[in-house]
Amino acid sequence: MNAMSLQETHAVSAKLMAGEEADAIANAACTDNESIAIEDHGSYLTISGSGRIMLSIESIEEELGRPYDVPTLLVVLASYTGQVDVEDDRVYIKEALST
Amino acid sequence: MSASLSKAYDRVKSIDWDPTYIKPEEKLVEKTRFHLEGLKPLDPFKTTVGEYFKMEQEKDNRHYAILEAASRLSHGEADPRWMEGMKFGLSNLSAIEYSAGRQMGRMARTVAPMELRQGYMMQVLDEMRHTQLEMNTLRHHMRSWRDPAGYDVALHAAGSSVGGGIFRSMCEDFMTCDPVETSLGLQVFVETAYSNVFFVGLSSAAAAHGDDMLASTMLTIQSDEARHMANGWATLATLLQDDRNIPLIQDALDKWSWRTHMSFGIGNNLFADYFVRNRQESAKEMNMRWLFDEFYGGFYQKLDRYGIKPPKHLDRMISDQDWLSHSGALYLFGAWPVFYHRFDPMTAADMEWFEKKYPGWYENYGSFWEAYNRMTNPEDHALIIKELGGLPNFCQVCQLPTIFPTPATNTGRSHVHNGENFIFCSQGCHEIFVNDPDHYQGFEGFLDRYAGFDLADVTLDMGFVREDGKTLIAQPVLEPKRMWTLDDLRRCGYEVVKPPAPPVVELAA
Repeated sequence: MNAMSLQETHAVSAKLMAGEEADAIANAACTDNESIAIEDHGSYLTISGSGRIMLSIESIEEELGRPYDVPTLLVVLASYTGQVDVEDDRVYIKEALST
Repeated sequence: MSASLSKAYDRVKSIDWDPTYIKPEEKLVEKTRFHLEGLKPLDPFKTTVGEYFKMEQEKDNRHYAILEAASRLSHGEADPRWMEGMKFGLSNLSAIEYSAGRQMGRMARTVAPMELRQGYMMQVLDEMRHTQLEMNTLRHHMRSWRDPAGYDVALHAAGSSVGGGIFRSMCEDFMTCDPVETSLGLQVFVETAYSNVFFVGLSSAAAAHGDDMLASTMLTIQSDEARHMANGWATLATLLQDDRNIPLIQDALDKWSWRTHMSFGIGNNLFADYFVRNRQESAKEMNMRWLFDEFYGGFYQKLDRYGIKPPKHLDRMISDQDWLSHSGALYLFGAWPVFYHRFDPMTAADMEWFEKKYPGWYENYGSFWEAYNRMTNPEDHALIIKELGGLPNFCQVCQLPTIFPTPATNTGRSHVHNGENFIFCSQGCHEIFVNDPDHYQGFEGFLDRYAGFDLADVTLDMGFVREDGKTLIAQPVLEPKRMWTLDDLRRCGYEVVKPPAPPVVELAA
């Protein structure tokens, strides 16, 4: 591999601190997004997709069976690949520098 | 929070004001060479101060509950290789976070647009939080780990250790370069690419070695870094709106890709390969995926349309993945008496794993480990660093020894500036110096300070001696039959000698 063959990628991912909320967010993401993958790394969990991942508070609330909000989601969002866009009831992970 | 967040955020922004009693340029303590006038910044996180504190309190509540539980419940002993290595790792980290807080203060003062300023101010608070989280982990480990020596001098050691010089020089460069360049280097390279590998990738390793305390610390820190990454992207996206910034951005990205590779990057590789026992991915595998596929692959393809090119030394950064951790380990283990933890040398099982993950490893590094393992008993008066022919030169820019990519193929070189000879580890560091020579001189390196010293006096001067005043904090194995003392070191008779300078190399115009 060298600079010339640096692979173009549209991969985006969210890395969540392991626990009940991470499981609920991952389940909700599976419902709301097409072709995403979940990986368990012990201390954290990765949701990966291509182009865009949408995390909806409504779907997470359904999974958890209790109210939930964006700031609490950001507490367990340990990291991500791409760019975050926060709305009132949704968090998007999009490709970096996308408009 | 509710549907009113975006509205509340806009309302808060509308109360920003310009002072009338001072001119805008007088408000800025430092100048930047980047163009920021009239640009429209983004704030992807749209966080108000109230929301910020609510989130941070929730993070702290969760994290400190784990600490409390960890100090009451015993899960059995953590792995000693990991726990000893973290004496070096955590001490440096805490100092890096504190300096990052200082850097963000400069950013908030100089980078005028309010959306960016808000993000930087929260980052100042985050970095203070991280320093304290790490100091709490140091304190916890000092009180609970079976050998507190090393954890007890951690903050002093971050300032005096020769190994810590790698990270100090990176932080000092951040604090003294153009404040906007700091954002690109710190937020885009260190925080988006490299600290992500450390805090998230190595949190798995911490958990796998029974250090739940540090695993929790790492993840709660990285959840703040998520905002810092966004600060970096927002700054970069803002700068890209003005074409005059493009060559300035290219220079800053070229510099910091190499600078981070040879500082934070080498730290990541060392910890991932040489401070773990329960092995998962190799440092190379982790970096190929996280750094080169996800970060560089995802990042530079987006910058292509602005005319920004991949880093000049990307090929070397990739080929270095075969060597960085191993040559870095030669340095640390070879110079063990001037560190402040117990070293756990590689076993037959480790060596087998290295040969599998890095074919050809034994041919290049096997003889070092055989020699190392022969010289761990203080009764033998044999010291590995003396056996290796003494210390090499150190790079004027990154403060690493000139043994990279390997001692045999090292790219060490000299350069004469105003009649004085300067030594670099690589073309990358040589170029960084030539572009801004005043920035990288006027201080003493390790050899300037200690040439002519007996190694025992170096260790004493650095302060890495146990409470009895004679036993070394560092030991070459986890459980020596007898601990090495200053007298043992003196009996080995190794005086620090400045080696001859490598040949002068001219940079192509």
